[in-house]
Amino acid sequence: MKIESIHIEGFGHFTDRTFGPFSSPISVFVGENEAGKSTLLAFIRTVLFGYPARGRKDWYPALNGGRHGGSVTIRADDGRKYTVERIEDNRGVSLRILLESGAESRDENLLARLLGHSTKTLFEAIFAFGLFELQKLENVTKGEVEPFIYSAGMGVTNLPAVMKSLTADAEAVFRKSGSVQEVAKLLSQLEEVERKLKTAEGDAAEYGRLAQRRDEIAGEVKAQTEAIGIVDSALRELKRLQAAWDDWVRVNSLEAELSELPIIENFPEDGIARLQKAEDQLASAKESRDEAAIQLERAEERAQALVPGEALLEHEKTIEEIRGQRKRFDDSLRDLPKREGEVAAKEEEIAAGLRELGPGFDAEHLAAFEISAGVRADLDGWRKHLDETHAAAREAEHEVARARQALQEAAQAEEQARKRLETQGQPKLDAATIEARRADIRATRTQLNEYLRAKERREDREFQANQAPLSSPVGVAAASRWPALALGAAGLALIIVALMAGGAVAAIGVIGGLVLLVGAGAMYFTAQRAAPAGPEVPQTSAFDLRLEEARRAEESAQQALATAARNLGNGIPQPADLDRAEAELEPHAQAIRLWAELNSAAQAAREELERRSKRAEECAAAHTGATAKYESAVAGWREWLSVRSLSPSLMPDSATAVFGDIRALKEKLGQLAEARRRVDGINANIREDAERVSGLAVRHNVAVRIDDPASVVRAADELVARFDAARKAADRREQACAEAEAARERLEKLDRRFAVATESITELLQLGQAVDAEEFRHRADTYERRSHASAALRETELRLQKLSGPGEAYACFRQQLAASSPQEFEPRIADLQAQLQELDAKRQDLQREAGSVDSELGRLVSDEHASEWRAERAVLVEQLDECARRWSKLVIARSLLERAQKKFEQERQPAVIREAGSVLATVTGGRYTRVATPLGGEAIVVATTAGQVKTPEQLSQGTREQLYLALRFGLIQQFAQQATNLPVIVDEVLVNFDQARAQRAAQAFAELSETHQVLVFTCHRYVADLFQAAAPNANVIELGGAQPRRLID
Amino acid sequence: MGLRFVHAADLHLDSPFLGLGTKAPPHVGRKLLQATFEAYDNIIRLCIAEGAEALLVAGDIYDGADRSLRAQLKFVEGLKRLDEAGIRSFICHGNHDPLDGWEARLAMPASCHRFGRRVEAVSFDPASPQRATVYGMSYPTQNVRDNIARTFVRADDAAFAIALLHCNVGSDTGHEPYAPCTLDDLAASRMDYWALGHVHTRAVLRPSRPAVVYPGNPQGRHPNELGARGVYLVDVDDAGRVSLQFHAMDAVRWAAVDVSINRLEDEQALLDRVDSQLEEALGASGGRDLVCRVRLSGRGALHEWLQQRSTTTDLLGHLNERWAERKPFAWCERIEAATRPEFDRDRALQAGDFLSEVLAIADGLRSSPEALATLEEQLEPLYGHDRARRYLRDRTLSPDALRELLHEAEAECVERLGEAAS
Repeated sequence: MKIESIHIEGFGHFTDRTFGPFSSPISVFVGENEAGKSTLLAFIRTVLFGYPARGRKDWYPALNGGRHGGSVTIRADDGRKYTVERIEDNRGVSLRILLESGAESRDENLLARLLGHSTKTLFEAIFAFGLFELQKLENVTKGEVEPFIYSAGMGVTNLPAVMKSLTADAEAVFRKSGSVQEVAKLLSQLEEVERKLKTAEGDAAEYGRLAQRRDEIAGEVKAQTEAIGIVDSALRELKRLQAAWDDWVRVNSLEAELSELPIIENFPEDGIARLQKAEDQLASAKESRDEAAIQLERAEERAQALVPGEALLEHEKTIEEIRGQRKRFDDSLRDLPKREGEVAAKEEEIAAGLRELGPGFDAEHLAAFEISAGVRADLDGWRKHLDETHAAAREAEHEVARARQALQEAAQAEEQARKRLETQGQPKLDAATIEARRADIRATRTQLNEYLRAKERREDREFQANQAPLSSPVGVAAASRWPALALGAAGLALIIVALMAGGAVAAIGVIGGLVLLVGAGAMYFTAQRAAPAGPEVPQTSAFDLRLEEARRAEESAQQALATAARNLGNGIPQPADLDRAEAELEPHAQAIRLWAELNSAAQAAREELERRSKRAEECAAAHTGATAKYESAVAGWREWLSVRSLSPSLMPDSATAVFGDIRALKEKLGQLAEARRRVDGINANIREDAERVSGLAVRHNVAVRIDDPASVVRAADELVARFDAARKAADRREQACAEAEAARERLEKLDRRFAVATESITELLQLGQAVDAEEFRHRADTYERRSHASAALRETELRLQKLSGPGEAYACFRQQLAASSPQEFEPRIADLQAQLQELDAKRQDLQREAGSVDSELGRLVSDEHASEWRAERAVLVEQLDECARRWSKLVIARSLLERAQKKFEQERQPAVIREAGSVLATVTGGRYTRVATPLGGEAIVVATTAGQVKTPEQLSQGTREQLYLALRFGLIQQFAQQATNLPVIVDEVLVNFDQARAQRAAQAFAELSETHQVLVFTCHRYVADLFQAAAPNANVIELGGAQPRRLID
Repeated sequence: MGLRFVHAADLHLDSPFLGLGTKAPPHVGRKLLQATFEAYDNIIRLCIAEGAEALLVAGDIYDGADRSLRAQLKFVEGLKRLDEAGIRSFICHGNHDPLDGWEARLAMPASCHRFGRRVEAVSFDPASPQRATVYGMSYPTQNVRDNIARTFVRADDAAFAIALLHCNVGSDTGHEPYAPCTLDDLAASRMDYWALGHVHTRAVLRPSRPAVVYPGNPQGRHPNELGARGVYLVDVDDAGRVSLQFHAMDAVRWAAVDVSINRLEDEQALLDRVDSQLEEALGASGGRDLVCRVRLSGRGALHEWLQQRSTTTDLLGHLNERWAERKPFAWCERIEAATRPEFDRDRALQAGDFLSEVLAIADGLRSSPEALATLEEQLEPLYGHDRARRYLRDRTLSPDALRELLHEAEAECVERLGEAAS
């Protein structure tokens, strides 16, 4: 296969760049460092074998734009041309193979076939390599060099590392005698779990033993329980006899007692108690009946008694009225004199008040006098009106006085102003005259300035005209510069000499030199300034013309000045004259300003006098009006007073006080009328009460005098007392009647009860078949004793039957009792109880043991540990299996690699080594003639012509690189035999070779180029020359200088 | 009058779960320890709820070698509950719980019949012996290699005959060939229903005359024992026709999550795929907890990432954080990354380079038993190791196992050699 041309669209810094066609079998790319040789190599690898992973050193982005990638056009072994294009964009990487026919394929397999199925690794290791790859072998430690070469030869540069990692990984899982590997750890854990499970098996055996023991205990407990049953039954029998003994004795005694008592049938129940109760009831009934008879008699007596003053009871209503008004009567009698006193005092107070108001006032007038709110408002109105009019009159009066004072002051001021004006007098010049003179002065001063400037100009021109013939030419000044320059040169020389002399002289010399230099400078610049600026020209006629012109201007100005100053007199004035004339005008101007001011002040004073005089007149008129208004108000007020019969001398304030007095008197009149009404009311009450008492007193013979209040009071009290006594007596009689009636009813009831009690005693005696109470009591006692004995017998027999059972069993039990002796019971019971206790203790021991056996069995049964351990064992076994599998895989993988390596070396290495030896002999000029692998070893050795054998480490670096190059030549040939002739691309592989060997190496490449296309990358021109020398048809391609690199993110 | 009974087998009470790649977290571990008991409890409940007249258990009730007291006690407890409910029980023992194995001294309820070392015939219903007879036999010892099915001879005139036996029908069951027999042997027996045990995957080998049935184990304990596990509720009508109704009894279910990495772009896509399968498995489990094995296969971009050991560990941790803590849980016991790189083997074989040599050698080893044997020798250090040997499942590697290992080793070589090329 051969690369015909390369087209880069975008790769590294290359953009849209084409290389080729490569017509020659050897193409040498020459370029400086960074010219793009490595980029080009990477490009070829990328297009043929695909993009490396992003970020790898041979991954080149399209730095300067363009689609990332490009194409390589190849000529295959079959002679056909293919253009292989590989582009990477957003959609990924696309491969396109263009065929000569124009057809297109994207089949990687086609490309793989074209490349002889070589891999990228193989290609990089054998066909496309640089100095780095050659030198890389140097860094590998001894013993690994050869495997590296072999693996490179096999297309797997990492084979040693892979072998090593497989071994390490496998040993991390398992080593035969290891203790820290995964398998060893798992085995330890498994054995630990097994040990625990063994314990659990022990538990199972324990369970069997315990289960058997549990069954045995159950049997023993059963036997014990039966024995206990027998003893317990005997004990119970004995205790039964013992418990029955007392009752048995009692039954016997009760049966004897009953046989002795007579038989009484049907005696009344509780006979004696009932008899006693009937007798008690009879006695009680008799006693109550007697007591009731006495009570009746006494009540009837009280019911017959008389009531004194019974007639008065009919007047209960009147008596109650007298009783009710009794307090009022007393109060009226007590209050009357006090109230009458109050009336008299009030009458006296009113009389005095009226006297104070004046003769026109009596009680009637007072009552009619109006002091309503309207009248009081009138009074307030008058007060206000009088105050206002009075105040207005007073104010007008004051205003008149103030106007007169002002008038007087204005008259004085006018007098003074007039006098000052007269004193000042009229000014001599008027204002217009002064202003005309000032205008003349200003005009004259202007013309004077014009004239003076014209005169000065004329004088300048005259001076210039006189100077013109004396001017020097420029050469004079130039000549004067030469001494300055000479002086400067002397200064400089002095400084140089002084510096060369050194020491103290040097300082003096330098200073002297500097002085000379400064002096020379000054001379030079002076000469320079004196030199004229322009070329020399004739000047006399021009000066004359300009002088004449100035003289004319001066004359014209002088005339204008004379015209302006004619009003000022004295011909041509000087500036001082004009200043003086201006100063003379100033006093006149001031006199005019003062007179005008005084005149204006006098005029103002006159006007003020007139204004104030008019004001004084207005004030006088206002005062007259105000006074008239006040007098009219006073007359109105007096009229108001007289209508109300009040003194005309009263002013509104004093009138208000009088109104207050009148109001007080009117209130007292009201109080007097009220007092009189109260006295009349009291007198009426006294009369009414006295009449009521005297009426009743006369009818019931009680002494009374109606006009004597004390008598009336006594009579009233007597009547009330008599009425109360009569009422009490009547009430007592009525109560006695009611009591007598009740006593009669009770007596009847008690008579009936007595009869019933008598009857019940008779009945009871009959029932008890007794003639009297004593016999009855005797029979009752006998009956009761018999009843008690029978009941006790029944009860005792029942208790015994409870112990024995009824019927036959009871009879049998009585026989047993009859045959027993109570003294035997206690010792026999004690004996049986001891036996029982012993048996029970033994049974309890067994039961406790059964409990603990059951609990232990329960524990064994519920113990989940064994289950957990079994689960754990299962997991560990699984993990062990997984480890074994992983280990096996690694071991087999390593075995596969070892077998492959061995086969590869056995079958392919000899040819490689042979070819390598031939190439090495060529390159070293016959110094080393052979490359070999000693039998059974993996190391490579080289042999000299003298037969000396050296390992690669014993060779110089250059020779060692030549050996590795030779090995690659061998491998290239080998690959060609098996697959295809891929192009060989080398990058700076000859730099460490001496010249002769480099030439021979180039020659070897030239020979290789007969079968393989060779692309050489170098930055050394001599390398290109070497290749051209070895192969004259070699094509040298200039890559140019370093390419600018664009920074990318 | 028809019959109704429940046919169960291979309870393996208190036997551990096998094949777990990692130790379960505590709550899962507890659940797994209880799972066989819960499944048995479900069977007892089913018998009572469905009004079955009897429970038939065809061997391997527990693993005698484990000497688990719990297993035996719980078993008897269940039978007692049946007894109290008036349900009879018929049991026989298999290779895992033979009669000569260790046994706790537990009293069986009166209504339970345990078959002995020889074939016996007992009435299905003692009150009405004419209804049916149950024939059965227990393994006297573990290693029963005789065809004992042939010793089952019908010798009664009852309406229906049931045979209860732990045996291996056919030769390719994937189980040890204990009490081997053929379907023809069973068909020739004149029995009406063969209630078999031993094979853990339920199978109706013959539907009638006689019906030959393996109910499978009621609780899967191995990654290969996937899906619903349970018992058959058997109804026999007056004419002797058998109808079978399967009832899932398992407390925890095994699920396989198989995901191919073909065309999976990134890790998230893989996780999404696994999540969706776990979700689906949980949805189909009827509220049961799940133990899952995730198998990743195929070729794709994720292969390299998955081949790092920490990847599967991290992935497993991540999945269990999400799925093992919920109720019901789906606990992943391991992730098997059996993926392959994007690799064209045929092309590589043609390349003429070192790798092609490796592949050619592997091919050579595969095709020659003698060459394979040389590999086995290399594995001797571990497989012949005194301590390790007794725990390894395969003490000698079969040619198939070696070939599989060879595949994996070859992939490993491709992987490692390719690292420099990538």
